[in-house]
Amino acid sequence: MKLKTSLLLTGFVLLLSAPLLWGRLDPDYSLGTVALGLDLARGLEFFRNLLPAIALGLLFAGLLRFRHRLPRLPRPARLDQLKERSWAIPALIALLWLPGLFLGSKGLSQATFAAQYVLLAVGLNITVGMAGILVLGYSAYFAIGAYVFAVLQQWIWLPWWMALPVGFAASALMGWLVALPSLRLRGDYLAIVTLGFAEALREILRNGGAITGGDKGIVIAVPHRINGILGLTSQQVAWMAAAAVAVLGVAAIDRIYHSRLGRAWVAIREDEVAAGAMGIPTVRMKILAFSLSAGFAGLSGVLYAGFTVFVDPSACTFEESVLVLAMVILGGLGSIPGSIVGAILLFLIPTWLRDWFPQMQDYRLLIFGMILVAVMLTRPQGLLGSNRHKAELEGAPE
Amino acid sequence: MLQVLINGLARGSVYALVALGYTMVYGILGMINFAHGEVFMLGMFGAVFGIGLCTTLFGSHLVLNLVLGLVLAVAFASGWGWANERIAYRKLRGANLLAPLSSAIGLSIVLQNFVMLAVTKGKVDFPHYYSDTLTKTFWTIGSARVTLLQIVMFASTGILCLGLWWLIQKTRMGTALRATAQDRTAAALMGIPVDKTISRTFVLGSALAAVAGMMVGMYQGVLAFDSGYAVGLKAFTAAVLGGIGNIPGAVLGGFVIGLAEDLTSSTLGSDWKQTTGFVILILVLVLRPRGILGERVSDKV
Amino acid sequence: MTAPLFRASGLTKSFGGLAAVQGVSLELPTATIQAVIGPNGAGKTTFFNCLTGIYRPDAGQVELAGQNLSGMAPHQVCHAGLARTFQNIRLFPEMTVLENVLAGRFAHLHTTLWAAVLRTPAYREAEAHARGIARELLDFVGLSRHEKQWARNLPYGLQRRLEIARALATEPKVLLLDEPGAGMNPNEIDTLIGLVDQVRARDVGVILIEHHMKLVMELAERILVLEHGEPIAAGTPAEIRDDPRVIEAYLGKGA
Repeated sequence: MKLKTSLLLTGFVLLLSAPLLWGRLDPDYSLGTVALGLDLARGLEFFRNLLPAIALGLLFAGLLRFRHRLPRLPRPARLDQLKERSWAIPALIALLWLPGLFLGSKGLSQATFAAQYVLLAVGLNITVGMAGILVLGYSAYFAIGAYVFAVLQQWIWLPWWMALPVGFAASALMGWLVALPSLRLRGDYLAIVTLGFAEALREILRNGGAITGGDKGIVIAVPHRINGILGLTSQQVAWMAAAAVAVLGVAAIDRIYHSRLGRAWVAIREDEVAAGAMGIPTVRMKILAFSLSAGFAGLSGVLYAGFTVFVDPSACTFEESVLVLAMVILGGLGSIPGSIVGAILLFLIPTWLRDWFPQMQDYRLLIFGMILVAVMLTRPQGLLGSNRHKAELEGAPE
Repeated sequence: MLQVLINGLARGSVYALVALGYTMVYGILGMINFAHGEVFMLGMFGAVFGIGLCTTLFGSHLVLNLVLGLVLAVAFASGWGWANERIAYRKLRGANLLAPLSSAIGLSIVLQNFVMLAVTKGKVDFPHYYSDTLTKTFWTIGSARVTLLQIVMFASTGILCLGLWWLIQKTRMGTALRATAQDRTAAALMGIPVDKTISRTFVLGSALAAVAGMMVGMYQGVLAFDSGYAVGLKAFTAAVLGGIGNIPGAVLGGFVIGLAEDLTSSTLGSDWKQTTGFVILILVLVLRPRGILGERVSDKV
Repeated sequence: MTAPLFRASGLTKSFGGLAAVQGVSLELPTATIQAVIGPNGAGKTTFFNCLTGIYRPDAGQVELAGQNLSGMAPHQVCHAGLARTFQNIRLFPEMTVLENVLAGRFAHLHTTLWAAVLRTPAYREAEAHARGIARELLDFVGLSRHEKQWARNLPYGLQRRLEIARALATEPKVLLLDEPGAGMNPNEIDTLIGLVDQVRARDVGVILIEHHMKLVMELAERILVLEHGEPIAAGTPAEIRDDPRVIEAYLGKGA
């Protein structure tokens, strides 16, 4: 877009936003009318708060633009060989556990959440990135994992580590049920159905009364939580659990991706008709992708419940679904390392920003939305996606 | 029972107006304008701010301020609707599904949060001085009540729909719209200004949403930055229910959803009212994605 | 009498009142090469689509080695032994040349999800075996050098060959080639003729849709001519070349 057009558009948007930003409603309660006053302070405060984010964004954009000038990172080619070694996974887990001994309570908490998001993002990548099916209601399966654990532990002995496969299975089953009738729909409808299901689930959770705890949620009883053992605090154990599950989960997904199943998904994404003609059962594979994604979300849900010991319908919101989707998009569709990077960036950076600039707490979502639009307009293939994706995502020039 | 019918139809007329915006954009661009619910919300705020401005400038003139407020609300929402398309969607036309939808979602988040930060996190009251006449004047039919506002809602929806029909069938701009919706390339080759036509579609839809917004503002008495989300989703459901891209379908769908919601509310209790919309959405998309009256979409090249 | 390798009888498919394919029959008794020709719009690709399950024919039957393929989904048709290439080359652009061929091995690579996650010795062996077959096929079509290239970067002629290799990876009994010679220069045509002949030598029947007459005349033992969805002639290349109806269909009356 030409510079002059951009400036004119920006000006127009500023004009449109002026009444909301610089105007203030002064209601007159006795009469029941309202007057419009001027409130410059509010508008100025808005821009002042936005400044750090804009600065950071420009920095990031600049880095991306000129990344070719930066020193190259070591090629990951040898990574493929390393991955095959049988000691690779345990070594990685052990390596990740180390910081658990040094990080304070807050750092551990952030790291644990980050690990959960990594699992969520890589899980969602199976369906959205690899198979090319857009999903808007992913948080539903996260919530199912968490809630199944929370509800069951009220009746039976179910420590968090036993709940992991239960959560996976429950979410995968639900994913399968949702996928069965929906996958023959075209892309955008499918996405909306997943959203509708997530919203309906949230309403059911809120109105579920005794079973689901309604708006107040359910508290996980102490013996079922992730508790401290052997001199380690509960938070350290939580981090170790999250790290281990995340590494194992990502490794499993990576292996599936590099098998005939992953190839089939990519084939379906690239050209569904040709894939079918080559003997790939497209519908069955898509359902499988969806169920697996749901299962991994459930896994993350159980970890979340065991860690935060409290589960309520806010686990099932659209914001969460969009956040994880954004992580996958930002990292690059179909790219597992991309999703890992995307998850870490989109979780840690806003968290750190909130710590460093506490007044920006409320601006988190706004900035997130702006990033989403900006990425779609400039680099839809994400950080680690390929340029061919960019061409495909942007469509032909009109 | 009659009350349920009346309330449902009133609610339905609002959904119908907003649904028109979704259906027109889907018909012409093949994309779901996720941010349309936010334009509706901006219409609500535009109305209140507009009335506020008029009160400050002219004093408390009931009719004058109300009318001017409506005009300002429509202008405001239309401006935003136009800007949305121009900034977030134009570049991504014809692209793979993910990009425009994600952009729309991002835009929706931006608009919601912007209003939250710029105005207030809490609820805003609609100045009841202006809406009292409409909400408090009523007629009784049997055990049911119809307020003047509800009559205004039906009437405006009816008039606006007729106006839209006339515009689309009888004017040059309407023909351009229909042509672009059916085959964008051919339309361009025939000399139809495609970009302008698409922009006008957005403006039209936003204007209708603004009217709906003002009426809802008066009906509910309160508005908030997130007033657009639920209405948006349900209006979208209505558009799909009637057949996406199909204008009479959107209107029909709106009324069906409105009635269904009030029916659920009276039988199962208001807690489950929200769920109705989502359940209908899922059922329609899974069982009859073409909608009741059949869809009309362009061939995406 | 043993069943023929392939038989399509009386295939009919209409779209909204317009008969795209009407009563078309074709039979391959053994692994030979036959061609389907006709002017544009004659229904040739629609015919192929009916054979491979992309369209469900309104009437008619398809049999492959005695097995009835009617009503099967495309992937099932492929499992039964019918593979195809497409008129506008539909490769998987975001995969390498080798991966494209490997994708064709899907049905014959019987690894499960668990085996993939655990990387059992059986899994590794199956994968290695599949790769071996894929490489052999690449060698067969002459693309060994390009194994690691992105499919989208291949020149047009090589893309066609890759598509054939991928189709062969599914171990078909009969291969359907949809205009394989489109857009090729005379050298490439000759190479293609050699290649298709070799395919037949591997005991795979070939049905060919083609406009390029040299390709058709040199390869096909039997030719079926379609016009407006109906068969107007069938016979050996010599018979077809001199058939007045065929000439009229292509060149119009008074030619």
